[in-house]
Amino acid sequence: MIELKGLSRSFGKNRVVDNINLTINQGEVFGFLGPNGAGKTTTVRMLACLIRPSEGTALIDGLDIRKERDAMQIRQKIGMLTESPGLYDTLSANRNLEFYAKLYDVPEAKRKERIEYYLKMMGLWERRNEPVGGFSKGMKQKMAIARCLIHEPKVLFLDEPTSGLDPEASRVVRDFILELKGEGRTIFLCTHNLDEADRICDRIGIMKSTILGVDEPSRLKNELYGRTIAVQVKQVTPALVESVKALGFVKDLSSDGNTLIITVGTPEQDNPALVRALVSLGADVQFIYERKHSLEEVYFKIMGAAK
Amino acid sequence: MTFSKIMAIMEKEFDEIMKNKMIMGSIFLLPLLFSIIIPAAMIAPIAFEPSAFSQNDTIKYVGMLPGAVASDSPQVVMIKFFTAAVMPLFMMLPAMLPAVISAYSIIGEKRNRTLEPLLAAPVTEYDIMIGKTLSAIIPALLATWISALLLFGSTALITSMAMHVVVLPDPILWATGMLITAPALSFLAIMFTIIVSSRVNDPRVAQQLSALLIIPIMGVFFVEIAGLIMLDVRTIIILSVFLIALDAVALRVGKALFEREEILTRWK
Repeated sequence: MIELKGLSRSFGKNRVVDNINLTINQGEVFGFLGPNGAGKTTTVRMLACLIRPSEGTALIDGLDIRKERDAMQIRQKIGMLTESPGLYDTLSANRNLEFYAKLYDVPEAKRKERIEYYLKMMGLWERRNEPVGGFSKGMKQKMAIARCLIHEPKVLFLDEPTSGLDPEASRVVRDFILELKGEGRTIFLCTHNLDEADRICDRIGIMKSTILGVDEPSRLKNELYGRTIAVQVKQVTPALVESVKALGFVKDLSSDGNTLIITVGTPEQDNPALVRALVSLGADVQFIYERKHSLEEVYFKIMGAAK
Repeated sequence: MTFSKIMAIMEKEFDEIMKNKMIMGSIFLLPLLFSIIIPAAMIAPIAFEPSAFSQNDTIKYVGMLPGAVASDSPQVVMIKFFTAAVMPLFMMLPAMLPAVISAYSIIGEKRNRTLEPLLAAPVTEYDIMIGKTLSAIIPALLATWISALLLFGSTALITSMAMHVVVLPDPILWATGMLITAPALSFLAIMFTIIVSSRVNDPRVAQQLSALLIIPIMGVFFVEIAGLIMLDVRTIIILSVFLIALDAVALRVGKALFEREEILTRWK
């Protein structure tokens, strides 16, 4: 659905986006992670045909972002949630959506129905005639999401959709993104919220001018950290540590208080042997569990390696 | 370029204009002031107090005034002279009002960050520019024309009350100014505001810079009032052609600045 081919963009001598190659499939939620200034917004702007690439190109549903005649069709197919809601404060919620429905050529017969559907979905129907300038930040964000959906786009570019929202509103937005995914829409999500990306993205790309890593969150964690088992024993002794390290299937071992943190290849296969070995070495095993790495750890490890 | 999208942008702009007290105040108040103050300050004194003006003045103005005839009474000559001389003053309206409207329209979008979603929509830059230009030009020209009609009405009323004869401003001169010069001037003011808007973030600053256009207009007015020159239809047409040429240049510059890439990467 979205194919980036060597996409690059420079501003003067500053190469903000450098040679991105990436394919995002239909119905996929793709998370784009990276620090401020990493080039995420510039990439999205290029994909939305707002600014031109310096080199390379991208195809959206087969249409080339570099071709002027394709650009208008691409804009019609995509929905874009910009970093700030960008609503007309003096106009009502209804009027804001009606304006965009007209720009996106939503047929007149369907306009009212769609506006009602999305306003109700966002819980804003009762306030449809009020100027949006009086809305809270969360309500404005919901309005902006409704606006980018009004023409039922196949592809959505969401730039920090839960930025500045309270936990409840964030959850509503996250659930809504998953609902959109369920409808088969392709979602390109730029976020700083690693927990959010971990929860809703099928794949993530970590970016700093160029792509540093792309995969499913769980696979990225496993690739970087392997699968780690935490074993809490009554007492950790140097002899115990050395003996466990010597076990053939143990890839890495460290200790934290009375917990041994052990990396193994396949816990389902290796754990029974590990427990038997620990018992035979005289360790009193109190707890054993898989230690999950957060996406935050993955992110910082990749970013650290890129420095 | 799509008519329905231009209409949608225009309607949205009108909705916003109607809710902006500053713009609405300018649209209603300025033309009203022009059409009340000018007759009250310039026409009424001549009509009601003809002795205040010497025969020498009258002879001088008859010589200058296109269409004036020696048989006209001093009062009629003076009224015809002033109603012709104030036309440049009325030209301030089509120069000022579109600048006020478009400054809020463009810088307002920039400040409220509504431009990016708008540019992400399937509209051409021309759709946006035309929509915004028309929504600034239409109310400005309507206000100017209504104001001119009020001047005609009030001049007729004052002269008929004071002199028992209806004296009207030169209709050909005014029609030329209102139908050719005023739209050309309005368009120039809007293009100028678009150009200025790419560099400033405050609508008031944009208006002040756009107000530079008023300086030559005021210059013409003062030179006329001083009795040094008098604009006739031919001169106004020549000036209008010059303005239209300036419009074309300003449109090229404005269009180059009003491109997605330029707005998102270079506008301040």
